[in-house]
Amino acid sequence: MMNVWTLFIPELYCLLMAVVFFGLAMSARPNPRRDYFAALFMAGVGVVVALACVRLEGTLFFEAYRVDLFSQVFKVMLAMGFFLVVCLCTELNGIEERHHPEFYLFLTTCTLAMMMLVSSVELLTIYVALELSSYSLYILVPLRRGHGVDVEAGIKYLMVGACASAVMLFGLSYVFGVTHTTYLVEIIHVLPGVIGTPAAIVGLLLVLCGFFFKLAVFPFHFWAPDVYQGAANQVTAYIATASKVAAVAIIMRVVALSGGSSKYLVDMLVTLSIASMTLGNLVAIVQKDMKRLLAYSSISHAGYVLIGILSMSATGYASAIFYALAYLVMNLCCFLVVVKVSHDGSDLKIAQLAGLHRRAPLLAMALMLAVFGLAGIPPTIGFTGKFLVFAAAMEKGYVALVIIAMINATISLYYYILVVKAAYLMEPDEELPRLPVSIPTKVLTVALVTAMVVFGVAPSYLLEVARAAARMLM
Amino acid sequence: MDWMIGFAILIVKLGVVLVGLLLLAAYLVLLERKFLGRLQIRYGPNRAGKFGLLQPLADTIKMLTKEDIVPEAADRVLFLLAPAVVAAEALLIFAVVPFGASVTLLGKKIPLVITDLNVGLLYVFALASLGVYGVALGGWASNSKYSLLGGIRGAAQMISYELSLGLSLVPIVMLARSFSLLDIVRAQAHYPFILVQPVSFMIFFISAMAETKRIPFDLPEAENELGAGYHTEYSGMRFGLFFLGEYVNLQVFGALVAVFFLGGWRGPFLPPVVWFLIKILVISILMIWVRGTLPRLRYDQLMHLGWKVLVPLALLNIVATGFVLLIIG
Amino acid sequence: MTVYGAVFYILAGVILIATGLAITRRNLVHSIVYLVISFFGSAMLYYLFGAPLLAALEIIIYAGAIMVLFLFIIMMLRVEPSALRKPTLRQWLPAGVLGLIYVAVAILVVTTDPGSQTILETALARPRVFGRFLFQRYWLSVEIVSFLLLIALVGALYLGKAFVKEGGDQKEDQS
Repeated sequence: MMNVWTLFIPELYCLLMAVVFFGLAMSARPNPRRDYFAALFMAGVGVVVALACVRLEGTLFFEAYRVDLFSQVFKVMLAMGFFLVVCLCTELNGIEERHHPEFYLFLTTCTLAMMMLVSSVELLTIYVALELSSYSLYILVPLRRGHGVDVEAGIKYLMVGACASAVMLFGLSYVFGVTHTTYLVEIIHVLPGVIGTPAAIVGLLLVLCGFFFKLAVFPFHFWAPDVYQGAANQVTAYIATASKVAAVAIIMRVVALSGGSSKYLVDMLVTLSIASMTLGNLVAIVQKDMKRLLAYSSISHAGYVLIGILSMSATGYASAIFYALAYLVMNLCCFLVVVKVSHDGSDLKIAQLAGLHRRAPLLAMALMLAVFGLAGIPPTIGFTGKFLVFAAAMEKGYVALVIIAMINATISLYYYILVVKAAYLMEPDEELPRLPVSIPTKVLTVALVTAMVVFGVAPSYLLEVARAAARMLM
Repeated sequence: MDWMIGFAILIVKLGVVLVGLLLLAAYLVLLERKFLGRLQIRYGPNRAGKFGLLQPLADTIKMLTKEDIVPEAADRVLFLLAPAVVAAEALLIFAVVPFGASVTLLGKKIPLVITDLNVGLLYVFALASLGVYGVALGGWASNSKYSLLGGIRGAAQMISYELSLGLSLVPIVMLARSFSLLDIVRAQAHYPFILVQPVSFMIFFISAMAETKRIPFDLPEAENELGAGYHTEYSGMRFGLFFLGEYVNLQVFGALVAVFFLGGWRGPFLPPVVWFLIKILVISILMIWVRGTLPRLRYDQLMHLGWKVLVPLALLNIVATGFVLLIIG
Repeated sequence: MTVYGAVFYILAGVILIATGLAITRRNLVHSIVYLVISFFGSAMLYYLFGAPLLAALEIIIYAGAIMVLFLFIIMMLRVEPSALRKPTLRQWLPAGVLGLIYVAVAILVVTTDPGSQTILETALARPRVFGRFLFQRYWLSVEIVSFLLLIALVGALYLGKAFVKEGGDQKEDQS
């Protein structure tokens, strides 16, 4: 019995954090400093805990829950994402002070839910874990100070989310009807045999729709721009990073169920991938708001990740895992700049970046590297990620897809460079003071930048881990 | 052939129960009026027949012959449907209430219950929760301010107290280890559950009073502020159906209290069915007595009592019962 | 066709019609009544399939609690049917097209899937067995759901509280 709970330690730790914040939320007087340091400390320990548990393996709860390298790697990423987002909360001005404990509470529960999501190997558990993470986010989005846009964003998010859930449940019923079980271990034996039947393929696609909503893939992307813009900057950072990583993990799990032999599924994923990339990149060009731009860029990146997944090979999955990690780091770096530049918690226009290289050279540099990474320019981690993904697709012979993706990457370069241009070449209308950048922020920025460059140049260790994790899926 | 006999027995049982319920409902009205009269130092109805015993008959004739008015602005279909929902819901609950152990007639064993569902208790709740629609829709369909207010109050009140009603019975299910009403009575072979679950009994009794919308919980009707609340606009037999529903509900809760807490049909000397009737009557009289004694609650007091007192108490009771059961094994 | 089959098709028809009416009525209260009928039909179907517990819960929770809350809110807000906008062609068209695609897929699934031809055996899930199954095999899901409800509760409390707070401030201003 002892062994069982050891496997569950990262989740238990998250639960403990949630309890602590629940207690803090009860306290009568708001104390943002206390909340922040409590969150920072516990999130930091959380990363350590997740790292310590990375080698655990086993199943628990009547085989509904599997702990393996795949799940643990993603748990580490989630814990890191959570920790880094908490790091951005030094000035949590977007949210009223008395709601800070609730903010951390919902962040924690969302992380907990996503940790359980990546470990679940049973359809019902997957569904309720997904719902738990969604609910936390539904509440986090309208938590922003000042009513108006945020409420609209919250409602939009809830509506699209509820529809996606309904579609997904419907798909689950098909999958259950075809395979007569909710356990992935058993489904993976049955499903490849019947994948040719319409019921199985429709079921699987509808199930995927629920996760596509999380990842903001093409037909379920409507919420992304409004929610990115409407939510507080830190919340957006979280939605854009940690929640995307979890979605990638679970999509891989479900796609792996098909056994890689369904042409329909591949065709469908190819279509969605192309649609996402193209739409995201083209619409991003005209954006004026930094967060909206990042939203459309995230839609296109969802398309790139899908390329790795739809290859349905060990290299494909490994490349998708690597890409998810790369995306986490790059996007967090972007949001770090967004949060720091708009330190009063308001939305950031791209034009407001003007003169950043003089106001805060370090941030400007970080922004440039992150944005180049997103565009896929060497020597950043983004280039390596894109390279791996495309290589995996080429291996399977999807040449046309790769060419389209490359054209897309070129288009995206345009608007990414606009951001860099704003930061480096444009001058503000009036002289703005230097941005105060504290020592911890500097350390954080340097660490993120180093990670981006070092793992971009020497990705072999991470790639090994990703490959080992991906093998767990096959 | 066997199938035919079974069907005939079922029809007979249905008929007996239906007639019995209606008769009892009619005389409960008389009992209430007489008893209330006595409590208020009056005589109550005493002109129709000896001691007013024909009063129910007179009332029925009056209701049936009165004009059935449907307000012009009312939502006709729902307006006509609402009273039927209330009456039907109350009557249908009796389908699972056991009146006694089985009797043997002509060599055939006949259980004294219309049907023994293995989810009988939940069936009762399902129907009780549908009763809200009669009140809410009746109030809404009348298209009158008083009725609407009554309907809204009714919906809020019933949904709040349904919660404590349901929670109060969880310990009973834990003790009996079954949802079947027959099993619950059987489980009380040695002692009635009221002895071990007095808290549960209290919560159930209070919530049941609120569910039947009787004083002190009659806010949906509240004569002196809302006219008659959700049935202000009703007349004739449709009003009669609301009325009937209320008194059948009185018996329903009497019967349920008997089944859940007082050992059902069990009792010394007298035949089981008689004991069961006595228990129903005692509970009904208790409820009438409460009506004659207590003033109406204020709306916030009503919500406070429901959500902040009864629900937590019921939850605590569940935990305590589970704890004790775990210890005794 | 067996008796079961006949009852099934009648119930399915009732559910379909009631749900269809529920989503097309302009009057919200009527919609609710049709939806309740549809839930009732689903509950009957569950009972027919040998799951009385689910049937009872369907009525208690969906028809008896959730829809009553909807009704309560609609009655409180007094939403007039005329206040609702008629959907334009631009809103109708995508819905219609998607609906048609769905119908086509559904027909395809039903006609081509060999699984849809098998005759299901009648089964009976007793409450006790059902409970054991649920709380043992799906223990984790049940726990997550309870946590989910807690989070939803905290969230609802927060959203509701924010609103009350503003009202409270106004009151202070007046006094």
